[in-house]
Amino acid sequence: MSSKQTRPDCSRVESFLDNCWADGPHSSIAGNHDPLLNAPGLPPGIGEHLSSCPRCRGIAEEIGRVDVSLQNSFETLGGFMGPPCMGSIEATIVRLREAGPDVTLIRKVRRPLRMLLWGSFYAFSLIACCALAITAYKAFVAAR
Amino acid sequence: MEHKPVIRWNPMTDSKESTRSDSFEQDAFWVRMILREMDPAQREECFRSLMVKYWRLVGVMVAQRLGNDRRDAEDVTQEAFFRAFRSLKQLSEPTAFLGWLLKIARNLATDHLRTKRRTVSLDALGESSAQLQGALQSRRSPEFEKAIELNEETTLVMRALAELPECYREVVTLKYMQGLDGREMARPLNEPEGTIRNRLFRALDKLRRSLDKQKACKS
Repeated sequence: MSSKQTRPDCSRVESFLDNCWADGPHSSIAGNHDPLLNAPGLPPGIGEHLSSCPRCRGIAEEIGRVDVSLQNSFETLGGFMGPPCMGSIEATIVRLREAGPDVTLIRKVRRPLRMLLWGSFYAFSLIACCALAITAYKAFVAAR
Repeated sequence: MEHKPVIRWNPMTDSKESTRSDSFEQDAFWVRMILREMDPAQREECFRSLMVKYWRLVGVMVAQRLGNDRRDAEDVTQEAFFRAFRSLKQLSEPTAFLGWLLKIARNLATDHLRTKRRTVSLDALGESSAQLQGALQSRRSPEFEKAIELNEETTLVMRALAELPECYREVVTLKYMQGLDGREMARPLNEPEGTIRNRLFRALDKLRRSLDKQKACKS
């Protein structure tokens, strides 16, 4: 095979392998290139190229190895983290309950409500004081 | 090299494509239920479902960022869920819940790391900066070392993963933890499919290069 013929083929196969890795379930190219050669719907020429080009076969095998290692690594990491801790989940829910919409609403309205109540109290007190003062003044004037 | 068949702990990786896209619809359904402010018990059930579904994924992402410290990772994960749920009203697209949650977790992990670095540097004022750097670089909990028996290949891959930029590591983690491809990732991450695919290709390229370099250094 001349280099003029192989180059475009190699780049096409490389991009096919990359796409395979990005799109496929992650065992589609794992291990070796044989599943690729027998895969249904394989673009024409890819299988032949893989069986004849050691470079591309090497890339396929390398991607397969990386794929399997990544699977193992993530399984290890997933196992390390363990299943969700119910204690942590419940603790989060308790915190959310405390910061729930009703509690937030109460907190939001509490301050203006308090101000309104105190304002009314002061206003009524003032009115009562004024009324008392007027009554006392009138009584004082009447007594004179 | 022979590759042993792998037992997958995550059933999502084996499910069909439609099931995976339904999974984001399910997230959106739970998010809408929470936002509807209905019965508190039902709302809490939705919180619980989302936490159970994504706890491990968020935990792994955070653990990778924090140097595989499990206790810290759990604390940050819990805080990430709390903040995500508390400000759920700000989420404009309910199907993008996962991407949003991961962004919150990433920011929290960065903050946590920053705080921890500051604490270490204050605690060890007498130590030289080189020693400090070394301590931070090699920070990996003994619990982690004990909990897993790393074979050589897995160790190399984990090191290569740790060297990946955050955005590349995220897509690789989603691919292997949730079994998503580039098109499916675009939805929860709220990014164009082309961007995600590019990240995947670059991540693979960087991983291959990094592994080659590590193997060359060893040999």
